[in-house]
Amino acid sequence: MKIYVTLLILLCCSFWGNCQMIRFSGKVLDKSNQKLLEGASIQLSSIKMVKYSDKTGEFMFPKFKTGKYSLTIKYLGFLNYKKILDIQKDTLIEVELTPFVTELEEVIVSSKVESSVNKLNIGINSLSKEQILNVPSIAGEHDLTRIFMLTPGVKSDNEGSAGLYVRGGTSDQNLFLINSAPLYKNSHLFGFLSPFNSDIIEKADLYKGGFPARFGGRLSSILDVRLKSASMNKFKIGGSIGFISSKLYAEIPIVKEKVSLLLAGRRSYFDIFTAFFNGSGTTSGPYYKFYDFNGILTLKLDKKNIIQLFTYHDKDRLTGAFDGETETQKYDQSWNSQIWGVSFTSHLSPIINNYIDFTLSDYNMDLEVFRDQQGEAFINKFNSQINTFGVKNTTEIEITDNYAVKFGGIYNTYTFRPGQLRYQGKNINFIESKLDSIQSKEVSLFIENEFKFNKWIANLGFRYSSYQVPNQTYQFKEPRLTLGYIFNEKSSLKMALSQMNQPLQLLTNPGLGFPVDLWVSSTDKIIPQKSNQISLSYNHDISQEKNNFLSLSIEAYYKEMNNIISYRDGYSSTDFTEFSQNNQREWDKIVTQGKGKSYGIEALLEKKYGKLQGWIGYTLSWTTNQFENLNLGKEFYARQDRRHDLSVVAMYKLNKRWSLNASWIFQTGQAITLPKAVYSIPAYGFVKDKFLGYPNLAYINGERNSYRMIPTHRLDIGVQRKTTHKWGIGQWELSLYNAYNRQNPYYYYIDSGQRVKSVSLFGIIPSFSYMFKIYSSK
Amino acid sequence: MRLIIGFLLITFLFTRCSRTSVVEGIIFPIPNQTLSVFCFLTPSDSIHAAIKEIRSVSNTNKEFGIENAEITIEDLNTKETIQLKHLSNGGYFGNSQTTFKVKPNHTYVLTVHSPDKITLRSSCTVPNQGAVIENFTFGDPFDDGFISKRRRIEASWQDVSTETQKLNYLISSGGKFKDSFTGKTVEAQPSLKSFKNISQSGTSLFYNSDTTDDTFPKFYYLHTLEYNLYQFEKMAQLMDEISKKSTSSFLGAYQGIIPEFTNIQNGYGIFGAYLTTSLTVTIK
Repeated sequence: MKIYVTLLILLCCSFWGNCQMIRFSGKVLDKSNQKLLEGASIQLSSIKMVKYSDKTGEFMFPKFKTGKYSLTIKYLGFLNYKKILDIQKDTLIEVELTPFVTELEEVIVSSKVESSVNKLNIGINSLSKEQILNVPSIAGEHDLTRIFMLTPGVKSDNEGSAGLYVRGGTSDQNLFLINSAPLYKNSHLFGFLSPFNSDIIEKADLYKGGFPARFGGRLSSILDVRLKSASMNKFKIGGSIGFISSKLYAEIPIVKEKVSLLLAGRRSYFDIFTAFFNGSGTTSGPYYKFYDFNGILTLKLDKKNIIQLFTYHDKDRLTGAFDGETETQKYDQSWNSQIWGVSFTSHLSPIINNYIDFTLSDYNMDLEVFRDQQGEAFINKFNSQINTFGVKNTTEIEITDNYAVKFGGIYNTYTFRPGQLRYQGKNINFIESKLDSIQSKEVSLFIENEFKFNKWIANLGFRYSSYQVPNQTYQFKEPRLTLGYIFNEKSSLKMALSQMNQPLQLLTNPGLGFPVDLWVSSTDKIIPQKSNQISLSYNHDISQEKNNFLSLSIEAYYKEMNNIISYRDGYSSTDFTEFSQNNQREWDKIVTQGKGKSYGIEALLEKKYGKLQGWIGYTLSWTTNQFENLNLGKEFYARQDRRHDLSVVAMYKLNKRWSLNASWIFQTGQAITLPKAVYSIPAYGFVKDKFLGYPNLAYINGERNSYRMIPTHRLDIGVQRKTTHKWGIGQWELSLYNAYNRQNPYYYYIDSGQRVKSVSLFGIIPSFSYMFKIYSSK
Repeated sequence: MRLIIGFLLITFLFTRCSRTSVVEGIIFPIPNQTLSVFCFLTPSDSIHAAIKEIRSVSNTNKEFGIENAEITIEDLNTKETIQLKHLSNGGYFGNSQTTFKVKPNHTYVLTVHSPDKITLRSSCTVPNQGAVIENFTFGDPFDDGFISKRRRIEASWQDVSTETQKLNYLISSGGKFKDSFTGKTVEAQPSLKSFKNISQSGTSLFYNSDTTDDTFPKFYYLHTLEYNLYQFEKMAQLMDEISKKSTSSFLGAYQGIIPEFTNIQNGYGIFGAYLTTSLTVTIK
C-alpha cells in the first residue's frame, strides 16, 4: 500500500512539475515613438540563454520552469531595462525602452556631422544643439552668442557683454535674424545674455565672410537662427531651471500631421529675489526682469505646402521707486521687441522650392524719471523706436546635380523714431522735443548660382539694393563670390569675395552704462557703411574615421570698412535723453564717420564625434580705425582689436549618464585710452571771485587706444548628469564660471590718487541648472 | 545636497573678494607741454590767475606753481594792458580792477611768459549781459529721512545768448543753514552746483534741486558763462566724476573718452569770463 501511495505522489509531482513549464515571450518598443526594436538582447537570470528581438520586436524563450527571474533587456542607445518577475504561467510582456540619448542631442542643428571639405561654407560658424547644451553654462544659461564667442573670429567687447564683434566689426554691424525676421534688440540683461532661447533653436549659423547674396544689410555678420517647429504627432513639454531664469516650452500637435503649435517662454527671477529682500518698505527696487516669448503655429496644407505663423516678444525692464509721505520718486526704463511673421514654404516640384516671408519687427526703448515732492513734481521721459515691415521671396531651383540657382527679392520699409523727450515741471509748461523721424524704403534683388565642375565648386552671386531716404537714394551693387577647389576627399582650398552695405546705423553708448541703443537711418549727410572682404580657407580632414573625426580649418581674411560710425568724443546718448545745455539733438552732428580695416588668420581644429569632442580655435588679427575727428585724424587700434584669441573647448562623456565639459579662453587685453599727463584744476569761487585750492585733477588724453588692458583668460568647467524617468528625460548641470577666480579687467579708470585701477565684473560663479523634457505616452 | 550647499557657499565667498585692483607697471610719457594756466574774468574788484606745471601721470607729487611768470592781460576794445602781480606761492597772481576794469562785451587777450617755457596765449570775451532768474518756485517742506526738512525748488530764466556769442549757465547757492549737530545757525559759502542740475529746452533754462528748510535767507547765484569757460567747467566736473568711479555708480557715469578742453594756446587750462546775478530767497 505504501508503495502505491509513494508512486502516486511521485506521479503527481512529476505531472505537476511538467505543468509548471511555461512560455515566456514579449515585444520590445521604443518608448519615445512606439516603434518596434529589432535586435534587443533579452536575458533571464538562471537561464543561460540570450534571445534577441526580431523584426517585429518580438522574442520568445523556450519553455522553462516557473519561478522568480531577473529580466534584463539591453539595446544600444537605450537605457537597460531590469525587472524581477515572478513567472508562474505563460507570460507575454511588452517592454518600452527609454531612449538614452535625449532628443535635444539627437537634433543636429547644423551640417557639422559631415566633412566641410567639399562644401562652400567658408566664413561660417555653425553650432549644433549638442554643442550649445554641452559647453559649460554661465549661471545655468547656455547662451548662443556667448558660445559663438568661443569660435575663431568672434569676440566680445568685454566680459559682461554678449555683443558680437566679428572680424574687427562692432556689435552694431551684426544682423540677427530669427526665423527670417530682423531682431533689433540684441540682448537681455544689459547686454549680458542674447535674446535666443536655446531650448528651441533648430539651427544657428553665423556668417562672418563669404556671405551668400540672399543676405545683406550689415557689414560684419549675419546670425541666422531658425527655431524648431512643434512635433506634428506628439505632445511634448520641456524646459530648464537656472540661476538667472527659467524656460518652458510646449509642443502641441493640434491636428495630427496637419497643425502644430510651439509655445516657449523664458523669465528671469531678479525682481522676485529683490522684492523678497527689500521687504515692503517705502523704497522698492531696483527691480529688474526680462522675459521672452516665442510662438510658432505650423500648418501643413499638404505634402508640398506649409504655412508658418511666428511671433516673438521680449522685454527688459528696470524699475525703482521711493514712496514716502511727502515724496515720490520713480525710475522706469524698459526695452521691448515685437516680431510677427508669416512664411509660406512651397515645394513646387522635386527641383523647385519657393519661400515667402512677411515680417513685422519693432523695437522701442522707454525711459521715465519721475519725482514729486509735496506737489512740486517733474517728469523726464524719453522714447525711441524703430518699426519695420518686410517681405521676402526666395526661389530655389536645382537644375542639374551640378547646378542650382537661388534668386529672389526683398522689400523693406523702416520708420525710425530715434527720440522723443518730454519734461514737465509744476510751473513749467509741458515741453516736447523730437528728434526727426525718418521713413525709408529698401528694395533688394539677389541671385546665387551654385556650380560643381570636376574638382571645382563655386557660388557666384550678386545683390542689388536701393535704399531711399528723404532727399537721397542709395544704390548698392554687391558682388558675392565663393570658389573652391577640392584636392581630394580630405582637403580643399576655398576663397570668398563679398561686399556689404549697411544703411541702418546704431548709436551705442561708449563704455558702460545702461544700454541706450538708438537706431537711426543713414541720411543725405551720413552715408551708409560699406565693407569689402576677401578670405581664403584651407580645409583638411586629418582623420575621417567617425569616432576620431578630426578636421582642421585655416582661414585668412582681409576686410576694409568705410563710413563706419562713432560718437565724437564727449558725446553720448545723454544728448538725446536729457535736457542738458548745449545738447545736440541732431544726431548726425555728434557722430563722425571714418574707415577701418581688419585682417588676420583663424585656425580651428575640431573633433566632432566620439567620447571626447571639442575644438581648439585660435585667431591672430589686427583691427584699426581712422576718423577725421578722432585721435587728430590718426589711425588707431579699435577697442575690439585683440592680437591673440585662443579658445579650447572640450566635452567628455564618462559614460551614458555622466559627462564633463570645460572651456578655456585667452585674449590679448583690450585696447584702451589712458592719459599722458595730468594737472590740477583749481576750485574757483565764482561768487567770491577767488581760488579755493586745487582739489581736482584733469587728465590730458594720450594716443587713442594706445594702451592695453591685461590679458583676459578664464576657465569654465561643468559636470552634467542625465537622468531618465517614466515621464521623460532630465539633465542637471553643475558648473563653475571662471573656475580659478581670475580678475579679468572690465574697465580701467584712474582714481584721485593717480593710480590706474582695474575693475573686474565676475569672479568665480557657481551655478546649478536642470533641464527636462516630458513626453506624452501617445 | 550638503555637498552642493557647501560648494555654493565656498564659491560665493570667493565672489565676495574685491574686484578692484591697482594696475602696476604702466609707463606714461613725459608731457611736451608743461604749463597750465587758469584765469577768470568778471567785473569785480580784482583779477586772479594761477599757473602750474603739468606732470606725468606716474608723478604723484604735488606740482609746483610757477612763481616767476609774467602774466599780461590786454583789453582789445580799449587797448589797455595790465600785468598781474605775484601774490603767493603756488603760482597765484592777481591785481585789482581799480585802473583796469573787466567790462561786459569786451574781449581780452592773455599772454603768459615764463623762463625756459613756450609763451602761452588765449583770449575771451566777457558776456554782453547776465541772465536773471525770472521764476523761482518751491514746494512744501518734507522730511529728508534724516534730521532736516527740505523743500523742492525750481528756477527758470531765459537764454541771453546773441548771434555772435553763445552763453551758458551755472548755479551757485549758499546762505544760512542750521548745523544739525550744534544747532547753531551758520553761513554756508556759496558752492557751485553740477551742470547736470540745469535743463534747457529752446531758449528756456531750468534749475531743479532742493534745499534745507531751516534757516533763511538762501542765496542763489546765476552765472552767465562764455562758451569756453562752460565747456571747461563741464569737463572738470566729468573728470571728477570719473575719478570717483569706485564710490559712485559706475553704470550712471559717462564712460567714453572725455576730451580735454582748453582755450590756452601751447598749454592747458582756461582763460574765461562770466557775469553773475543773484537772487535772495526767504521763505519763512
